[in-house]
Amino acid sequence: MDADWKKLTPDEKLQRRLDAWLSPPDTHFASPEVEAAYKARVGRIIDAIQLKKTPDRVPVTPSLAFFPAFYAGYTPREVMYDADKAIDAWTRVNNDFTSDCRYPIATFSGKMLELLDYKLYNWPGHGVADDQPFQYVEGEWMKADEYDALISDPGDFWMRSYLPRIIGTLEPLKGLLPLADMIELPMTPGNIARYGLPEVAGALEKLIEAGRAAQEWMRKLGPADKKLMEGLGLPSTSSGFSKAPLDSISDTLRGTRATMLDMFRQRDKLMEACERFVPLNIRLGLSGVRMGNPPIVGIPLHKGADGFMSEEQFKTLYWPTLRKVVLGLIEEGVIPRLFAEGSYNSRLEMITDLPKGKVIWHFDYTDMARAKEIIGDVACLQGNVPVSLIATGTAEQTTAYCRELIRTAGKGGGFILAGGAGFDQGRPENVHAMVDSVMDYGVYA
Amino acid sequence: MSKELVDAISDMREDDALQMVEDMLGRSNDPGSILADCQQAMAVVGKRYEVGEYFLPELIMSGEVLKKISELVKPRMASAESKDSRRLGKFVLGTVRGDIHDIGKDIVGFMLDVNGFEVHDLGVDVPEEQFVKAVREIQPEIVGLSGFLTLAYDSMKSTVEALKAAGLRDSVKIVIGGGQINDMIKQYTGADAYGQDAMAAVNISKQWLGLGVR
Repeated sequence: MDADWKKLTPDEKLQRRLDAWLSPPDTHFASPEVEAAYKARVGRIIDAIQLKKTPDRVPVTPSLAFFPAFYAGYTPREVMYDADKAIDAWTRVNNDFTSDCRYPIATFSGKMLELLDYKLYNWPGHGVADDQPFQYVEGEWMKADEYDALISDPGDFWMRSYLPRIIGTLEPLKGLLPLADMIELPMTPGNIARYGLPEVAGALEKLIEAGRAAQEWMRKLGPADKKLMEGLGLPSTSSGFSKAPLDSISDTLRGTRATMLDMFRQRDKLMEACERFVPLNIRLGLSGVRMGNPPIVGIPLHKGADGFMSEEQFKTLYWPTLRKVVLGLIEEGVIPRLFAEGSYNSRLEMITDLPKGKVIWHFDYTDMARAKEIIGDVACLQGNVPVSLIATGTAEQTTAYCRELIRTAGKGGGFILAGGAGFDQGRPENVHAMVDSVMDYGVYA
Repeated sequence: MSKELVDAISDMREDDALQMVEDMLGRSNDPGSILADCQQAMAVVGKRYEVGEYFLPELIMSGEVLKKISELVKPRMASAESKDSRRLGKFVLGTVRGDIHDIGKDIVGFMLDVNGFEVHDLGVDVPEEQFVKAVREIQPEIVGLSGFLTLAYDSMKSTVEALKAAGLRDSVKIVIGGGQINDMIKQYTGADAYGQDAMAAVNISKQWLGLGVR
């Protein structure tokens, strides 16, 4: 970022980003009407987030996971391997369930995952059936005695320990020497020679292939996604991704079970590792945000949910470093969207110490009326139409649920209607009911 | 009964507990009584979990401590002694077809085991036919279906239907659990009950077996 940017205050940075989101560069809307609709949608969402004024109505942003695939009659496997089918499915859903957000055409490339021999997830055709979504594979990918290695040099730990474990193709990289050792001529030949080893060279060649597969997939999906934005005036609603530091450790490094044991056996090391992740997770969040994109960073939260740890553990282990990440992102003029999976009923009083109108709390099972009461003055709320309702309920039940939610959580503004979690299976009539409900019940007088 | 050992385990003091067990075995204490202390400690842990003092980390940690104590104790027990004492009932457990999540299932299995049930864990991604086969062979009183994804709803439903088609539905009670499971899903799947947390399966099962808990 240039020197001028650095001189701006966080609020000025945010305003620049919001202005760019409202008027994205290199974008050619299909007509003035479509552009006006785009601006109205973005403006409505910004008003809901910032709590400065009530929007014209409640924005609705259904959370669709693999729903578009099933809706269009494709399997999850097809939309991960066939770009044309992915484009077709998401194009149809954006047209048929037009809301305030674009459902971005952003499925993962199965071919890329295959070339990587990606072990962190099973995906349709690889460990799960063709008609199922991808699933995370729990494992102790980082060992109990590796905290020091992680903390002292995360980049080196990633390259020579972690990635070789989760990406089969990169296993030979564990035979490399630390890159940072190459500071002078004498230590260069020994270091570089490792890249000439057949197994390392082979791994890097495969990596290039995977990179090309990723590029190819993006080259097909990217323009189609942009066409939807320009044709229908639909904004996407996040561009960055980050994590709570404890989730960084617990989700995909030590694993759920081992981290819970570390809470008792190596609490100090665990806390130190969480601190180490603060600047890394801020950087991660910012990396996806470019001018013209929504300055919203999605942060799915897992292991701090009700039941997963005590209030004391939440207050001392989970929240402090997460809060630092949130504040670090706000400092750069970006809006964190904290997606609290599970429920946060016992956490609500503990999460109020954030600046007003600067974050979104996206809730799943949490009591939304109570959330409105306790943090509604500080943060925008998003959620929480249950996945079970969309998958097995009726349109009448969905409408009733949305109406009540709008009445309580949506009172006075500061609310975005969305799913409690992403929809895979779902009855189309229920998604329609959800989208329609904001027109019928969500218009502010 | 060693109150110190029961306290060490239930207070999550792993090193103290293991040291005590080693000392006790060194003094030729009856290994059976050490395992009885473990059961007692788990009863305390279970109660603290139910009143909201303990959460999943404590269940996982106590499971780990129990495993370590068993490793120390079991080799010292005569083979006849180490056979499990009278079990309250048989429980067949598994994560349904298509779903590979296992942490919740494992915790439930562990809580059932320490509470006196004979648990048969079929693992993850368990097809309907395998549940049917297990019920036919093991003849459990209760079947537990675990699932985390929305696709699990339909797998749970078809598992219940498969048991019905095999003429086995009436011989068992079925409880479901996992993420996104509620009363609506219980009705959708045809299960008898659903559990919201780690102890629910234990309490529901005891109720069904007339062991009157809560």
